[in-house]
Amino acid sequence: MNNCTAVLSEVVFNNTHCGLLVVDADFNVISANQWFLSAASLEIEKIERQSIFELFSFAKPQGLKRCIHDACRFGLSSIMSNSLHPKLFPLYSRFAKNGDVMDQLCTIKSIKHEGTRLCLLQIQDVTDSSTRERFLSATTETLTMFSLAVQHSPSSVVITDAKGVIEYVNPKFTEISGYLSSEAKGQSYFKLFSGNDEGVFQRNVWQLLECGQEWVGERCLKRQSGDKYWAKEHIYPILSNECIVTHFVAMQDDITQFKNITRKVSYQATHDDLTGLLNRQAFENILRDTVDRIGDNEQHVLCFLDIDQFKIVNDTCGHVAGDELLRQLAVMFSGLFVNGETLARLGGDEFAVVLYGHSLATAKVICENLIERVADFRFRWEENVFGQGISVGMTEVTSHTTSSIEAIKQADSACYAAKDAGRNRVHIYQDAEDILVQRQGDTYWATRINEALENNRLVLYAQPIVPLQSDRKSSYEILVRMLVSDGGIIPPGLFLPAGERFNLSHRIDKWVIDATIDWMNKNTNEIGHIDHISINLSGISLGNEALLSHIISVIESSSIEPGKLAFEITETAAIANLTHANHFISTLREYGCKFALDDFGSGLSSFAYLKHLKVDMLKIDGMFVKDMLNDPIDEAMVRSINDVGHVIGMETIAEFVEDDAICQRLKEIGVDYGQGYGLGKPVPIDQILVDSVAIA
Amino acid sequence: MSESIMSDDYCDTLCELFNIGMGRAAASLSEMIDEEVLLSVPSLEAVSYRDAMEKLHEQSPDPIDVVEQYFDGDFSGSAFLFFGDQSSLELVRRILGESYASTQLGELEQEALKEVSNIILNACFGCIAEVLDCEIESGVPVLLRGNVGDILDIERMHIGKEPLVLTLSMSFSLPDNLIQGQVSLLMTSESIRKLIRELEQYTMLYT
Repeated sequence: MNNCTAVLSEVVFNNTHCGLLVVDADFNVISANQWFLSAASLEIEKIERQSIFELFSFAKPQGLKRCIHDACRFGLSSIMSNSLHPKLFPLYSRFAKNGDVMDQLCTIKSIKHEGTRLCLLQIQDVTDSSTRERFLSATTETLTMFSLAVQHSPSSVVITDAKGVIEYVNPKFTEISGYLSSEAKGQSYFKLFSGNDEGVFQRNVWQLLECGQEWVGERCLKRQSGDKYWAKEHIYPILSNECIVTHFVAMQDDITQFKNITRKVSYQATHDDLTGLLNRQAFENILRDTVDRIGDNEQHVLCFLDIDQFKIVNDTCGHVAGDELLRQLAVMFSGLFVNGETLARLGGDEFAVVLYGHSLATAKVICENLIERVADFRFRWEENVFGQGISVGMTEVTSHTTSSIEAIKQADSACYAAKDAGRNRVHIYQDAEDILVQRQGDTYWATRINEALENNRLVLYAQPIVPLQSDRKSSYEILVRMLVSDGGIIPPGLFLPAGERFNLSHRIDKWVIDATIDWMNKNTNEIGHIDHISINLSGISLGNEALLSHIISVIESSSIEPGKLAFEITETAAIANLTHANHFISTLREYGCKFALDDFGSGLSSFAYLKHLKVDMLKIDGMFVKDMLNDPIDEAMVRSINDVGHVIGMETIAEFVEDDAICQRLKEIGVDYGQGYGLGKPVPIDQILVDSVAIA
Repeated sequence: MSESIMSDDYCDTLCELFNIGMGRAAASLSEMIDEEVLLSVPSLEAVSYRDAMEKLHEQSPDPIDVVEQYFDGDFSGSAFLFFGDQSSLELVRRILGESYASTQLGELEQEALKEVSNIILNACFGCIAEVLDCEIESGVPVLLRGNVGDILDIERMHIGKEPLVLTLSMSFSLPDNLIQGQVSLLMTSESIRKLIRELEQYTMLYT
């Protein structure tokens, strides 16, 4: 090597932009370049011929020793990386601000100098690249996390460019829309779902997005297959630092199932399970809206419909039959109200309908038509056939209607009045006064009944039941009257309905029973000519277990023949409480008491359940009797009730026998007994002893 | 079937030598990462370049990470350390104690992988050089990624027409991982002949 090259080599050695350190096989420093010395803040004189393991302290010196050994002994090269040997030498960069030891990458090579293998350590400052690398890995890690989050998002995610052209879709998008990533990329996001149709919707959303705003909403979209689905969609722009839209992100959730469930739940919440009509709550909401929004000249009619014979069907054939009846009637009503009327089942056998834009007069026609239709309807269940009737209560809904609650109350009370008036009819709600009088009347009479019961102001009357065939004995029906302080007598029609409404019937019944048995007891010897004495029982008494026990104990403690005692129950009361009625009847019949079914035929019910009621006598409703001479249908009714009664083994009694002609016809028909003004008026009970003497 | 170039006896001898080297490399690595590392060479074979390539193609059809270190001196050629599939990534992350999920090796990881490979390869060279009392000058390790065919390209390596390949299967076990790798030494045919001659002498002297 000539001198010039040697000098150059030294210049190069000292100007190289990395640390160079030459050591021998014993780890002693042979040379070090300027870069290394200044980074280590050392001078060559101080380190020459000294072991690097004495000059510097290494965390794990073995690795470096091995590398130097491999180089000097065999000529092998090694590297010592920054990650596995952080900060190998205590070297400091001039540029480092915080005085940290630099990150280094050390390459160890074997060099031959004058026949000896030496080791060249080349040390690079990798602080910058390590820092960059660490930053990059941290960033990559974060980005990877975000990317995975989008990739595995349970929502569909689409990223488009600023023009709405799809650049990325996640797997969920493919799952929901059916478009593969490759099919979706490059397409316009909006066109993918709505074809080329540039709807108003699209323009509006686009306008919003271009202004840098977001859009959230629900849309019905098309899958690739053509199927539709409901998506909750959220589209938002991504803005650059300069506030320019660079991308859009569109997220979708498939809410089809959720929508269906919501729809189902909301249907269930507003509809009646059994009939599919609106339920009470939904009906009330609609009515409230109607009342709230009604205009000055608008007029609607609210109708309550109550099925008269529902209870009979339910009690005789069971709930399944009752439900079926309601379903069939609901179908009929739905078929009649097809002009936007609001029809609902309020519960039980109650229905309601709002007739929009109708006056009471026109609504009445509609409802009467409805009643006719129902009257024509026959409900068949197994071998039974039932006729049906409905009671309708109507009230006006106008701007004067104070609230929907008020309207409902009115329709309800009108419906009640329709039932009260004999069912199967329309009753129009009458304004305040009438009802007020009625209500005041009821309260008045309730008080009077209580007084009368306490002060023994009720008195017994009796009306004869006269045999029409051969020479049977007469019987008497017990009737009750109220005495007033001025000595006047009040007929039962005035106070008994109030008694029923205020739940006093069973007390009246008990009084009558006690008084009658007491009277019979006192007159045991004088009533031998009487077949039986008949007492009316109200429907509510039939379910009164205490009253039943009371009757039994009274009969047992008295000396009267139980066979002389009869009870009359109305057809409707018996059927309404069929189970109780049967229990009551069978218990007392075991003692020998007789039972009569009162007002038979008035309930418009069928003969079917006569089989269920074990009574001894059938009292044919006076309605049929009084006109039977003029009305062949009435006569036919009397005849058939009589025939059926006989077939079942019951005696028949005709009510309302007002004259001899009727009496004569009844005899011909074969009715067993007659009762009515034509045969004998009600008289104070004691008088029948006298009369009977007279007759006798 | 690959044609055997070296007798079984020599293969066994070489295998033993490499295992000594691996013991040293394992000790170095254990010290470095403070965990017990075990390295072993369960088998070794010497085959023609063509046979070796066939086998490597079969083993690794996809691009792989390979660390190459050329060597020169009494023997010349190139040494390759292969890691299958994600093994390299797994190994480095295990050593560096990283956990993130990127599928690419970062720069720091590449350096670490090179150093670990360097330790293993140098241990092999050192062992041969020591036992056979010869010198093997090696270059610094280089990390390559690609198909086996491109990496082991004879043209690129200037290794002569008919190089031979000494293939060492290697297992690298950490306390809860077992990573399989393979070292292939591509040598000029005269180098392998020389190696066989040296082995003959060694066997005569020591066995």
